[in-house]
Amino acid sequence: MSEQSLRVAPSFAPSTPTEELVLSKMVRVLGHEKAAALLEETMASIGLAQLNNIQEMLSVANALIKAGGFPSVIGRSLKVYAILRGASE
Amino acid sequence: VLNLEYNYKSCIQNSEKVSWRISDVLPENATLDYSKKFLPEALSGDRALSFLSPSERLALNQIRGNSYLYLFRFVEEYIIAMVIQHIDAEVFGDEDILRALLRFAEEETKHQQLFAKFGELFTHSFGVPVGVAGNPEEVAGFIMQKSSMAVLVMTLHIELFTQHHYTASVRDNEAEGLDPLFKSMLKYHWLEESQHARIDALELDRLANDSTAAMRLKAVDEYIEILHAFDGLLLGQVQLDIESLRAKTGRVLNSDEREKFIKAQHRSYRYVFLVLGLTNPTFAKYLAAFCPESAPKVSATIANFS
Repeated sequence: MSEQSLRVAPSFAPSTPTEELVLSKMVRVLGHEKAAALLEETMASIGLAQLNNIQEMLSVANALIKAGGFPSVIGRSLKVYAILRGASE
Repeated sequence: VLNLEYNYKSCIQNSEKVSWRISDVLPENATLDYSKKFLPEALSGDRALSFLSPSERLALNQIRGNSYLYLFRFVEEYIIAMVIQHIDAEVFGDEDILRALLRFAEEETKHQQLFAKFGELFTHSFGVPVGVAGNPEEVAGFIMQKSSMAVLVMTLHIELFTQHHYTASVRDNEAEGLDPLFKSMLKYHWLEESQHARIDALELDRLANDSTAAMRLKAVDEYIEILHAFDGLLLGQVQLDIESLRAKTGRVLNSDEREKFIKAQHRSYRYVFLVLGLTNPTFAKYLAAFCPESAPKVSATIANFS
């Protein structure tokens, strides 16, 4: 995750219910701009153009966990959320 | 899916109204009256054992009272683990949901402490060692291997039969002269479990909304597997109760009496912990909405345990 991407106001807007859910948790901690930038960059880093399901949410969660800091706390919560709904490693 | 008429906010409000402290329910100088029964006949099944004397039946009733609360302490081990998972999933999410779940976890932990404190009081005052099923962590681990919806269905089953036990057999029961301290513990436990059952249903509804019919059917199968594992635990508890009764009264059962005792008491434990959950009208309504295809499996399970 580059510092630059977190500072720039993103054009990213959620396009699926899963993206909305993930973004809403991130916004609570990081604010809208940083959250949107982080989610967009995280999705790009794992080759996802869109978050369509719980399994993809788990992939984003794992990427956030690897990022460390507050994103990793969000990632852990998203990971449990996804696993409770049937996602598997 | 479940079409519920309450929400997390109302659960928090109700929980705040009925909240209590362990010292209010079981103060340091609390005593048990061993001239009285702890459990009503409906939950102890001792009347069927006509070969026991009245004093032996009373001792068995008190042994059953101890195991009754211990089994709650036992299952609350996994319920706490389950709620903590749901709390983790809700971090940075909806604050009402998070608060309701946090209260749920705190209250279940408090119940465990209450029942542990009762266990100490009983152990010191009953006069002989009393056997209780071991390894709650192992059972918690077995249950937590199942899908989250199966675990929630099992928890809902437990919370709803707990309410039924108190309201149907204890609350207005003056005829059986139950020990007031024991009766009071059941009352305070029931007060908070009422909200827990609602939170279980709300959480199950959220998971069900994100699931497929196949996932819900699998959850029912796993729930039935948990019931069968629990049944094995109950049979083990019956064997321990025989030894506790012998230690307390000196009564040694002959092989015929032992066979009748195991059959009658296993049937009673099954009725109290399995059948009363499966047949609870609210539980049946929720399960039918959750998975309409589950009806034949549930009927067969009830028949098996009856």
